[in-house]
Amino acid sequence: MKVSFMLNGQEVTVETEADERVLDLLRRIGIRSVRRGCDNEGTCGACSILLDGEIVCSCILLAHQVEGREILTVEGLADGRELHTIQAAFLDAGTVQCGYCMPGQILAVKALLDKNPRPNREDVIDALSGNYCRCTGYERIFTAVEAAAARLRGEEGKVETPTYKRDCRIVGKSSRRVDGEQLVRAEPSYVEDMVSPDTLHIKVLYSPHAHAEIIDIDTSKAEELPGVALVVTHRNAPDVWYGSAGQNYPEPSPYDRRLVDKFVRYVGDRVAIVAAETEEIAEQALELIEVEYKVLPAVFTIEEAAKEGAPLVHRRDPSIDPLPIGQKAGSNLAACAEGEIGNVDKGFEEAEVIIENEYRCAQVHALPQEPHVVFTRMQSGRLIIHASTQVPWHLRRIVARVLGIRENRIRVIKERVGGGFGHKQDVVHEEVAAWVTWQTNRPAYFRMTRKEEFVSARYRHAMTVRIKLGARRDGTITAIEQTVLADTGAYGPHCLTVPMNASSKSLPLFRCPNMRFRTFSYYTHTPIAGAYQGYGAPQGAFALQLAVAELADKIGMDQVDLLEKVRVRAGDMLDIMKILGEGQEGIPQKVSSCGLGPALERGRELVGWDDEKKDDGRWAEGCGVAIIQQGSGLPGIDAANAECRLCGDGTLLLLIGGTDLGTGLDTVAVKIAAEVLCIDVEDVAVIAADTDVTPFDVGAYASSGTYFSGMAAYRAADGLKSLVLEQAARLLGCKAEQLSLAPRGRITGGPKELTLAEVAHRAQGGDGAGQLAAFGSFTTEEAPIPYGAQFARVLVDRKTGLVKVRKFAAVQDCGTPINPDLALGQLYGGVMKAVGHSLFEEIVFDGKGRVKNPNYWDYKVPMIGDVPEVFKAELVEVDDPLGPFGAKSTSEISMNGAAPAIAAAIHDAVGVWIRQWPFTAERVLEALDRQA
Amino acid sequence: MEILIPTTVREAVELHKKNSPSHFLAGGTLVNSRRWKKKGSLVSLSALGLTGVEIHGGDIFIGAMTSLSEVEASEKLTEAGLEFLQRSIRDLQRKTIRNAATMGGCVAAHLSYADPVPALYVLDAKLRVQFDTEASHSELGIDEYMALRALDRPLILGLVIKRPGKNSRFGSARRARNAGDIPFAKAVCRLDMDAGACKAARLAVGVSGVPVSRLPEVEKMLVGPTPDVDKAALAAAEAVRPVSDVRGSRSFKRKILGVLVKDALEQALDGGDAR
Repeated sequence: MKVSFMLNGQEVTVETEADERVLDLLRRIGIRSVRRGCDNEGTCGACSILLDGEIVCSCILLAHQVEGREILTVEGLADGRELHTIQAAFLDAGTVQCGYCMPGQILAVKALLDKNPRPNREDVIDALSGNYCRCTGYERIFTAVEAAAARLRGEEGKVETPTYKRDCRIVGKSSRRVDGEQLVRAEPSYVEDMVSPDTLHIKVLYSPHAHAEIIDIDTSKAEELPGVALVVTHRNAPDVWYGSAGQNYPEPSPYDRRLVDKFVRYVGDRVAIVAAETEEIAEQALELIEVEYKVLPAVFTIEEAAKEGAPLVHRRDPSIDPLPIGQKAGSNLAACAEGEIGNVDKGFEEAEVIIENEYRCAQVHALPQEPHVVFTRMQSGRLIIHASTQVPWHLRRIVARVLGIRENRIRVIKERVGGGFGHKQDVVHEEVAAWVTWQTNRPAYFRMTRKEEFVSARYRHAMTVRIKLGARRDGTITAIEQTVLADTGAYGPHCLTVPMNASSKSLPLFRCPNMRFRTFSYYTHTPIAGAYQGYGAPQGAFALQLAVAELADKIGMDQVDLLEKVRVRAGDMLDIMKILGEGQEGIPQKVSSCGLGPALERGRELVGWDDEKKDDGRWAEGCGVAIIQQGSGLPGIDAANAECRLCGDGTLLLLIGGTDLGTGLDTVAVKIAAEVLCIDVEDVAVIAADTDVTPFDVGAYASSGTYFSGMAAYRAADGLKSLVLEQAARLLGCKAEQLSLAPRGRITGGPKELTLAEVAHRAQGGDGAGQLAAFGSFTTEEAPIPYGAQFARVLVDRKTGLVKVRKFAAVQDCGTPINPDLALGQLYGGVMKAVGHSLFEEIVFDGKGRVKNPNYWDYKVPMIGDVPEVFKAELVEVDDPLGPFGAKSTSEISMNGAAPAIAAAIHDAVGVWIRQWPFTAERVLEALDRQA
Repeated sequence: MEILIPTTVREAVELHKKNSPSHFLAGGTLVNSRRWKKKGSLVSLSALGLTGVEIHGGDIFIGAMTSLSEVEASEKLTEAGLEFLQRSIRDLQRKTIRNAATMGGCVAAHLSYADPVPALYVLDAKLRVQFDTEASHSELGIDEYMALRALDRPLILGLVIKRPGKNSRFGSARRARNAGDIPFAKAVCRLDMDAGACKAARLAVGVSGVPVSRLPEVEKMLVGPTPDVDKAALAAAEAVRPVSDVRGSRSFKRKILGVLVKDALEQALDGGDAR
């Protein structure tokens, strides 16, 4: 049938099937701003369009339903090179992060402002109530709408943001992100925008059993189906063991998996891979594969896995693993470690009060709106991988191992990433597409569905954390013992390092001479756990911070006062870091700077800590706080490189290996280089994360971006600065030491002023020394620690157990924020994810290891209506001596405080300790019933 | 999946009968979603019109294909005293869905979480329906419609609602896990008061996993000079049969429903339809 409608002001007639989804139809005719986030259930809004001026989901609209109607997408907003006012406001307010869901949000705002030029907060919440965003935490959207509304009314609509670092022109001041315009315009940016028409589509047959041996598999019918190009099973898969953790080699994670194995170890494990001409053919082929399983007994919890004689998840030889990580053959113990400083037993003897409890954290999901997606193709005998990854170089290394080829036969191009959050640190499916392309010489595309994301991607580790805390009655902590039991699922990427991080990012927050940690990580027949923003720190912080809150309660001391007394301070030596290395000995760290003091003070004010708390007998109000830390990369392990090339007109090409996931790293690197070279942001073009073109970088994880990749950019720019001044000195016949760079590319201090352009032209000309370019590398044995304090003010309904977060304040020491807007955006986003994990997010299994809520309908994520009434993220000014211009990392830390702060606030309100996240209404009500 | 696109009501009814099993497709927020598992062809109502709000004296008619957003924003309905229905629609906290979902579709789907349905129950809404091509339309109560075998249910043309009286008092309470979720429990009531006494009561509840229902026995308990809300809440909680799911256990939902019924009744007794 034919359907006619108006699309962005143009009449369009399209041949279609009556049941084609409008989302698919629009993408088919070149509209990229509509994206599939939820497997067609209308729950995420990534596919939003305006239909006759109203925001709707195009994934649950069929083609015939738009006959004669008017559709507007983001492609129809801008006027040529001029952005629409709303697009511009989103950029100016620092709202845009990964950008994947941004078109839908922009359209929702347009629908609102077309009808209501002065919307209030409630109007904005309603307008965007169907649009899920994992990155932003929504708060900056309110700012963007306010600015856009004002500008549309003809007012200035200025976005006010704080500034830092007075001695800098560019660093510490907010500017638009360098990739922002392409994202708000929905220009081709993501992997899904790169796919060519002759591509094979990949689908995977997943195990219906938690543990089974494949006795027989018949793929003949599938292979005979016209359009099927390749079927891979354990019989023809490469016999290579590898690990999927995207960590630096040698990885502290086991090589415990094959591309497809004879044994399946969780519901969702790979049984067969099909590549076919279309998605539909690939799906049909999956149905034609006949599998005979021998179902084996399974373990689903840490307790079951740890039992003597428990069914084993793996029977393998751990000697092939790159590092010894405490794995124990013949058991389900995937990794373990322990260590102690001081004398913990003596510390407990000296204690007047002991707090000893167990805290439990459920599996939760990162859920970036863009799922795992990869496009592979061959070019001149080389494999090209267009990836949505945080680790291009690790991806290249792992794929080379699986394919049995050398790394220089592979090129990884990191496209814009539609949300990562650590979730894309693992090589979850890229090796599958790589294998298909390598075998068939055909392009291959593998985009996981939302259900696949829930079942076969990665979770935050479920953990049980036991804390024993000894203290004197004045609050002095005399000993801490922390035991972490982690569930790594069926495979062990990060099985040592995530649970160790639970200790290494929580224990050093306290001045305590006697500390002991123990880490045990177990395999179970459940989906795989992996990296996720915070990387174990949220679980560790939840347990230890809540234990300290319980201590405050027990000794009758104000929680903030106790934290102020026992917290770490600048100059402290963190000896415990020596025993908390990642698969190797760690490096003791000195606290180079610490903004915890001002953060506690400011957070106390923002949340109204000392204000009266309401209690009408049913609804009770309470406050809680947590202090938090993360790291800035991994000293002694991480590495980053960058290159600055001066163009003939004095502008700059900056090549960095660092991986921007929507976090703004490209912008951060550009600003650092621009500041060093005294040029403007617009004078720098950045090319990033392409293994053929840009230099090596370990990737974006462990909060390394600003410090490691930023320092590499700094050093490259500084190196170029020296070259420029030397060249200028030669031209001017003076000494380079006399010269300096001045704003807007001027070279001053010599007999006359030169410009960068003049120097560059001469250098690259026939009588010059060649193009001016400099390389910057960064490795280190010390790294600054970002700190923060997070405060929650909650209301608890005693009758239903409902917890409402009324106010939340996140006050952060990230050193100098290179771009304050982007730094604040990271904070808001991290906090809202953590609020979701604290209150309602949880993967639920049935008794057979099947996920009961593998979709947005049943697994809830925070929406704009969940944002606290008062939600404040602020940065305290701390100038760190280590980082570029005093910067530390920003993003990951923001995940760590919500759970303990909210749990402490619940106790403050109604007197019950909830020691298991999420704090669902049912769990709170049960606790209240027990209390009664 | 075959999709049939009639242009008249008669044609729609005819195609529905001829192509059994077939289902009507209205806004599509359920039928077009991955949650729709039923087999058979679809008879799309997109070309039939069936939209708009009409007021005739004390009778209010809402076309079946009128979107929830249109009902929510309708000044006519506000003037006719149906703010309560409009707020119930607003409870469905996704603008994208309210803009696409229709009133008729909402009733036909009759899901436990369909926020407007309990409100329609307490408003005594009737359905104007078309059974076959020859006869003229007729009216059915929502329960009568639901009692029919799914494939025999007629085409809904619209909803007929009597303007509520000045002494009608409404109350509503719901709980969901978060802002974007469907309610796992909802209670809605209407008390027709006269000189402080309750002359008639309507109570509709929805609990995730089971259909929305009226609770006539509890309603009877409420009629009288001093309605005992505690007793009614307890009876309501005992009358429902929730199922355990990811949104909560059976016992939790039952307990919460009791609280919500009490909340809704107290709102109604406390001065109208304040929420």
